[in-house]
Amino acid sequence: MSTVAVSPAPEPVVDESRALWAVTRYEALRLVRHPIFLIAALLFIYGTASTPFNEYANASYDAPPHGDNSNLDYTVQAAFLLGLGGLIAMNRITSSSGRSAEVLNAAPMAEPRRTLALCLACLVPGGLALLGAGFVFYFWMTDPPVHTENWGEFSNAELAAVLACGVLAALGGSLLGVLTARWWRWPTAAAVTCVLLIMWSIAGLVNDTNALLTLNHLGSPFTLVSSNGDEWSWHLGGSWLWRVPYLVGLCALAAIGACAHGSDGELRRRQVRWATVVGVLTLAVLLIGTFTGPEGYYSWDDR
Amino acid sequence: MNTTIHLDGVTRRYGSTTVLDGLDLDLSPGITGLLGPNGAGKTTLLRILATVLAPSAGHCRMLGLDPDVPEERTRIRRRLGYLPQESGYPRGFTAFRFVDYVAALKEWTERDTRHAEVRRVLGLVGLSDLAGKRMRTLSGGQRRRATLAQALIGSPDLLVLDEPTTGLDPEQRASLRGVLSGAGHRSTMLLATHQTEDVAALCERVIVLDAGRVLWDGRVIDLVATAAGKVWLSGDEEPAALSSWRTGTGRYRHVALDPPVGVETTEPNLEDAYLLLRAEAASDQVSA
Repeated sequence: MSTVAVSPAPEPVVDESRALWAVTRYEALRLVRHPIFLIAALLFIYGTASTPFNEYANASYDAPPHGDNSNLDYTVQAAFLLGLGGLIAMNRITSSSGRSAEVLNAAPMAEPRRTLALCLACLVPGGLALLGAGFVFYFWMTDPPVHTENWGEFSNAELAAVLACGVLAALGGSLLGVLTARWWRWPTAAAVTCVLLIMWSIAGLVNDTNALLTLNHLGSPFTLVSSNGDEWSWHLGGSWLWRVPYLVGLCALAAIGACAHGSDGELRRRQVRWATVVGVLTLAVLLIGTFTGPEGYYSWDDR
Repeated sequence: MNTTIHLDGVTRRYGSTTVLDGLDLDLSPGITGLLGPNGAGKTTLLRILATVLAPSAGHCRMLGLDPDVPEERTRIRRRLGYLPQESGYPRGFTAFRFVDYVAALKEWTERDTRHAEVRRVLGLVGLSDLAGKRMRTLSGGQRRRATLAQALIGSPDLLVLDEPTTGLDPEQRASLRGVLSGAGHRSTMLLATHQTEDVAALCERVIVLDAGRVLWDGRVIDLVATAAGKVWLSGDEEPAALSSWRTGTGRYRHVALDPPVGVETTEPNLEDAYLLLRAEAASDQVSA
């Protein structure tokens, strides 16, 4: 029997970028419709939108500064609502798609690109957090609150950095959800990750000026400031400006790590190279942030 | 003869277990049936052809492309439809959204065109009226048809179907045969099943796998012809027969490698031939 191999038939011209965005749109819609994310987003919107109307608005000048520290609420809200909410929702969305892995793995859009689409969908919580940050920043600019007195003087750039940390926590939490779903395929992976993150953040609240503790404080993704509330003093170790690129690095590492699942060949080698470069840079900016920022306590009496 | 798929010494091992053992195979346009007992390696072969599993040894070429090369693998997948033996569904998806989601992953970027295609394939499998229902509320057969619908998106050149008619009622099976025979005219289709009637009804060629090796590769009618004279009817049970059962008419139908002389033979079917082939292979193994 003589055989003639079939030569490749003319293939449709595929715009891979458009295909990626079509799937990203799909994943973003799935995220927006996810009940956990929906509740988290509504609480975040409520919390952020009500900022001008809560007691913080009036605390700037008349009320005792320690009477309300809600000027940090935005960042905490973004991290714990959009960050953790996004983590759980994206983890469930990613795992849920995994049920049809056999069908999806035969699709031309390979797993690393599908994961990239999921990562791009994480821009939804990141974008929502960014809108909130813009709103709060505008509010801070037009009606400077008491926090500057609590922590010493903050420049506008430092204020923006504090807010950016909230945005990156929202983005990074969601990316972490994708990462854990890709690599830890057991049912409670998202919950365990949340608990670990919260424990790390609590560990980051240890109130000391020791460089190692500052490193841990600055390195824990969801930690902002530490306080020993009884004495109304605040500890703000490290540089907020350097903490922003550190968090950007963590987000990038989470995305690269997630996309590495199911990759092979040249793509995998490229991912390893990128992860190494980003990992080194991330560690470097964390160390710079640790040793260049303000150190020590800003007690109420120091004002 | 055009070859769409060429397998050369394809072997697949899971640990110390060899599931496919040096398989050489050529597939051409048309519908080819794949039969074999559980554990014969059918699903593994289909997964390799669907590019979701790589062989441990050997080489494949599909549609003139090499699935080991990532770029070529993507090009194969653009022309491939795959129905796995088992598949889950993303939570909360309707039948329409599930097929639409897969269509998006198959790079159908234009929303309107994609939706039209999704409606077309759902119509083909008779799910138009249930498109808006959530997958988890559909019956097993309806979910199976929805999964088949995603395989038909874009009328692929290569269709790899693992037990497509499992869980379907007779009407659905008959209607699906119409769909598959239509698709088989335009593409190369490999259809693994335990339903010999489906193979007899749809396929010109049949491959029988056993213990990871090809036991038979040829025309369906030739395989059926091997059973001629080995199937007979009688009024009594025949304990020595390979298969023997009382039919609705009250008579017994027997299948055996060596039927008694002078019996009233009857027309064999593919199932008889398959049973005989397997029995013959087993006896060869024993004598070897």
